[in-house]
Amino acid sequence: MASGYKAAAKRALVERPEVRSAVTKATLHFDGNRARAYGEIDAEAWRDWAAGVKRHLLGRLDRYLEEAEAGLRAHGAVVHWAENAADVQEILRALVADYGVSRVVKGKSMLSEEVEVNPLLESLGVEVFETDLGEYIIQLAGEPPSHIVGPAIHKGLEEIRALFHEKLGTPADAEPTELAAAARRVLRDAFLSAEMGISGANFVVAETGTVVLVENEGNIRLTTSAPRVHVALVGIEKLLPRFGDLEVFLQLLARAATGQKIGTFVSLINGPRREGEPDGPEHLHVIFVDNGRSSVLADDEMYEALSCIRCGACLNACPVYRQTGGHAYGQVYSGPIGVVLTPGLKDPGLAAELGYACSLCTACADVCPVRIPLPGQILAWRRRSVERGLVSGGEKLAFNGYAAMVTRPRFYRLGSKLLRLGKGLTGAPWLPVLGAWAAGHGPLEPSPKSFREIWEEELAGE
Amino acid sequence: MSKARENILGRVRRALEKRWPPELPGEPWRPEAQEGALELFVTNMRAGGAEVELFKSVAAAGRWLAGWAEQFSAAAVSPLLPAALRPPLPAAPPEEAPLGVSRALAAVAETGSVLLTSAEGRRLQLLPPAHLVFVDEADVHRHLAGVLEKHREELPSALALHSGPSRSADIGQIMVQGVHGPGRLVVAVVRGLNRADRSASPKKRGRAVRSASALRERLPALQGRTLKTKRGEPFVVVRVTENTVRVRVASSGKEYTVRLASLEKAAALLASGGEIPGPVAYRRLVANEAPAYAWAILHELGLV
Repeated sequence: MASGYKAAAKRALVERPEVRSAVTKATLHFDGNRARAYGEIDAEAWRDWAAGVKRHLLGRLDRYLEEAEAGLRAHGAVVHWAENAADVQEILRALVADYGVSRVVKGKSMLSEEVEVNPLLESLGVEVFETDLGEYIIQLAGEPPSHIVGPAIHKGLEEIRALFHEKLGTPADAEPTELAAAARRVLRDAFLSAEMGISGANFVVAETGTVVLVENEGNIRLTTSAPRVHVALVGIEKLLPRFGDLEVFLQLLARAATGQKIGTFVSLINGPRREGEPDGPEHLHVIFVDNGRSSVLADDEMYEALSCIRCGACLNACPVYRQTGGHAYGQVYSGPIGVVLTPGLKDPGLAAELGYACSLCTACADVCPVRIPLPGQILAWRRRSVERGLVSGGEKLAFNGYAAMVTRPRFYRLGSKLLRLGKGLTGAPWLPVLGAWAAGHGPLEPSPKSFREIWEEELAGE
Repeated sequence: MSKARENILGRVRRALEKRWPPELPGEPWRPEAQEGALELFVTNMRAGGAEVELFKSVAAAGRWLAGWAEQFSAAAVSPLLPAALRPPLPAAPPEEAPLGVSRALAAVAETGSVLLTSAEGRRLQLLPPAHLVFVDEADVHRHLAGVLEKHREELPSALALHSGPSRSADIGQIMVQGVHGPGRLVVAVVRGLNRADRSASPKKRGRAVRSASALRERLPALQGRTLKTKRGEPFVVVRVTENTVRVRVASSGKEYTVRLASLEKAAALLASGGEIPGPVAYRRLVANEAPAYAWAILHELGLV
């Protein structure tokens, strides 16, 4: 894991300082909007309620999956089940062949990143267009998304100008509206010529068999309306029990993600085009994807993370994410939710590095709209990594030493005395651990007397 | 892929064996009323970047539309709109039209949204750079809950909530409008719009009656004929009585009844300038009695 999180984070901070400033700016902006939007409502009541609905759903997931499947079929949708990425790819390969697909337009979907849809389609000779403006930008740049909601927030205006100038021939000093118009021209043509649209799903309502998608640009509505085939990739945890549950979830998702009252466009899809409707896709395929989710569900300490509605609020609140952006994590899901979900979905061994992309400040728990106990879960991954012997010997030794010292009064007293005596030294850059800390914070300034000494003096005075 | 289905459901069931799910929470918290629903709707819709116009009657809305529409050269118009609210512009396909005109099912005050249906077509809601949406004042709900509850039972292939013009801040957090969908959203709230859908002016009503009586005369000729639905499904007109038409689906043998009164209502609607482009519109505007077959009968008679 030498090339893992720590190395990537270091590279991100040293080699690309502009990423840090772009990400910090964007996340502070999102988080400020979220805080204001939470303040306008009884956010605590809605968060309790939404957490309750999701926990109930997860507790009866088998039943709700069957109900959703029946509802979707009743509307004329075809439902597929995929255990893993390979299954999804096989299903897509068959659909591409059946419908003679040469062009695909895609709405933003983290799950499609997870199961690597784009490389598959490209290998089949299919032209793929990411249609979310942010996704389109990073597709042009050949990068993965770095944030659940704002996939291109690591890129500033200047970088995007240069990219569009090179790839689309826009002027080198084009304004954002011109850049967006250039993307619109390319993508409008794609919408009208693609045979297949692929989307994710924010929610699927079990009661009515409704696929729900939330966005601000209108690209998802077009992706699911213009081509003759619509394929929706749905993680099995994305269900909601009742149609009425959307009332709170649509509003809470928007408030947590960007501080809006609701996403500008919400699609509620109930099957393919009906008789008499002037347009719309002739075929709707819904793929229920497990890809590790059932093992997370079986994990008593981690299953609540499946309540996640992918709002990105924990990323925006996280002081670690704000510094490095999402790419340092090297995974599809970054930030606190990524730290918790990734080892469960992919490989518990990943927790040995990812578990430490966290300062345990618990800001993520304060903002999560569905009250996922992220800090406790991150600690649990750390504990498991230690138990599995995945933590380096030096670190283990240091913490064992620290524990031995602070749990024995005599050693503790000696240690604090040494710290006071060597006060001038605590800023020295060559000291192990302390040196690195002091480099960012300035020297330690121990109190001239220990608490114990003050205590004894006070008692003596009485 | 049924093996994948069984495997996934099996793993989910095993994971849940020892866990007792909490109860599903009941009604959630809802913000208390501080102003009227319409007032709140206007405030929130404007905050979302939309323009809002209010009209006390369909006639007033029609007068405004006649002038307002002059800035456009053509329009793609919802078949669900009454004649009085169809802009005086040449029709154009949504791909080319500078204006799309919709008839919303409802509006939500707390989120500042209009609810649109695929029954009128989705492209006209998305492709033109400007989007005009008419909604009846009586259909403005305070809470999203009311709208969801009202439309839960009868869902078209797609419902959509639009809460402002298309926008993105993906380029350096700078807000840009009209990225993929319409860059301009205009919502016209009209009192009495729902009544205009169904009623016609007295003069036109006379024509409608003549058309309806013609229907009664021409229907018996269809008895025994095989017709096709819009989707191409064959069915037989088994029997035409004084009050009903009985049809049998060729493939399944199932029989359905269409009431003559409903067909007459449809004929009246058509005579008054309304349109019924297909069975979904028939179900919405006329009756939910075998709409696919009822519509096919109207089609056969050359009324739609």
